[in-house]
Amino acid sequence: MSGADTTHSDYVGGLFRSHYDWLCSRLRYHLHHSLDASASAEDIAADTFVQLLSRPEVLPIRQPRALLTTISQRLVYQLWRRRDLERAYLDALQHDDEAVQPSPQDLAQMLEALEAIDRLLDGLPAKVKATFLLSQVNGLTYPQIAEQLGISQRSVSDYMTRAAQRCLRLSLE
Amino acid sequence: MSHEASREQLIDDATRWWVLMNSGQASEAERHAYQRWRNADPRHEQLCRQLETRLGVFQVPIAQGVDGQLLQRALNAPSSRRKVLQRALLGAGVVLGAGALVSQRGLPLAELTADLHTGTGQRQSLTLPDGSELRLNAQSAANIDFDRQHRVVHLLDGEVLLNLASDPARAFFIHTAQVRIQATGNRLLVRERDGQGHATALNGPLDIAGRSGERLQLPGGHEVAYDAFHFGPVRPSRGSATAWVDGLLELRDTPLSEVVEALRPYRRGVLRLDPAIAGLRVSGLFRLDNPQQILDSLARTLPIRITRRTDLWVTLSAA
Repeated sequence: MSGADTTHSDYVGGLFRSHYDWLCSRLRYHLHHSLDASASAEDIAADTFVQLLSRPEVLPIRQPRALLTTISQRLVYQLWRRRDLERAYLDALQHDDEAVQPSPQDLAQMLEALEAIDRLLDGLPAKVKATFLLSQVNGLTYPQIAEQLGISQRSVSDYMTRAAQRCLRLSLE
Repeated sequence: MSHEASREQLIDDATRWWVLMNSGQASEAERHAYQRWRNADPRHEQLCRQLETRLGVFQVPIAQGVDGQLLQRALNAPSSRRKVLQRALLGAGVVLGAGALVSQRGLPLAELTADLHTGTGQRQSLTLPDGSELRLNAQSAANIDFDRQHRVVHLLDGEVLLNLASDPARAFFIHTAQVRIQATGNRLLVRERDGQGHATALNGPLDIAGRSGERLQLPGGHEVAYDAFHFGPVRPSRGSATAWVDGLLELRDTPLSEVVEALRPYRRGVLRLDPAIAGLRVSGLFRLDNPQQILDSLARTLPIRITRRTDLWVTLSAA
C-alpha cells in the first residue's frame, strides 16, 4: 500500500467503521463453536482489514460482508493449520532422541518455514513429500533416496518431477 | 504453438533440468548443457530463478540441522480444518461436500469474493442452514447471508434454483445486480448474466423490485425476463427450465438464441450466433455434459452451418 493512496485507506476506513463490530461478533461466534479458544476474534478481524488495505485492486467491493467473511475465514484456516503444524513439530522433536532443543528464535523461524513448506507440498502424496524432503533437506542423491524408501530410482525421479512442477507453478501464480 | 502450450512446455523443460541437476548423478557435460539452456532464453533463466527462490525456504531446516524425516512427520499433521468445517463454514453454517473448499487456497483474492462459485460445466448443490436447498448452475457465483432477521442469497452471476424451507420469522430474499426478489412461494429459479435477468416462480408468487423502484408481483407458475430498465411480459413458465439440475437441456420450441445462452456456461471459448438464425425453433432433450454433440445434432436438423476456427472459436450461421 502506498501512503499516498488516501482514497483506498479512506474507503477501507469506512468499511472498518461499518463492519468491524459485525465481523468481530461473527468471528467470536465461530471461534466459540470451533475447538479453538486461543484465536482472538479481534485480532483476526483486524488482520482482515489489513489485508484489504494492502489490496487496492479488489475495489470497489459489491458485497463487503461477503468479502470480509471470506478473507477472515482464510485467516482462521491459516491460524489453525499453523497451530496444527506447531503442535506436530514439537511432538516430533520430543520423540526424536537426536534432535536438540531449538532456541525460541530458531523455533519461530523454523515454524514459519514449515508453514511455507506445507503450502508448497500441500496435496502431494506422502511418498512424494518424503522423497522431496530427503533430496532438498537431507541432500541425498536419487539412488540413496531409492534405497532408503525402498522404491525404484525411476519413482524417485517421477516424484521429484511432480513436486518440482507444483513448486514452480505456485511460484508463477 | 499457442502461448499457453509453449508456457507449459517451458515449465516441463525447466522442471526436467532441475530434476536432473538435483539427482546427484548429473555429468559434467549435462551441467554445461543445463547452463547453455538456461542462458539461451531469458524466460528459461527466469523460470529457474523463480523455482530456486521458492525452494529457498528449505535453507532454514538445513541451517538448523533439522532432519527431513522429522519435518515430514510434522507435515503429516492432520488438519483441524476438516473437523470444524461444518460448524465454521461461511457464517451461515452451510453444509458442503468435502471438496468444496479445495479452491480456497492460493486463489487470487478477487476469485475468493464469492462464498460459492461454479466453473464451466460444473454444478453444485447444497443445503442451507435453514434446510432450504440451493442449486447453482455452471459459471455461477453466490453469497449466502443469513442472520436472525433475514435469509438472503446474493446471486452475483449465473443461475440458481431454490427450494425454500418455510420460516415464518425470517423472509427469504434473492438479491442480484438488477433486482431484489422476495419469495413468498417455496420454489424459484433466477438467472442473471451480463445484465439480462430471468425469474421463474415455480411454486407460489415472487415479489420483484427493480433498481429504479418498479415492482412486479409474479404469480406462481409464471416467468419474466428483465434488464436494468424494465420487466418483459409475464408468461406461463415452461417446466423445462429446471432440467439443468439433472444435467439435461430440455427444449420445446425454444429459440436458438436461448439454446446458445444455455450452452455457454457448459463450454469454454467463443460461441457466435448469426442473428439471422437466432429465431429458429428447436425441440429435443439433450445432455448438457456434451455441448459439442448438441451443436452437431442441431446442425443435422436445422438449416445452419457450424464453422470451427479452433475448438474454442465456433460460429453458427445460416447454411
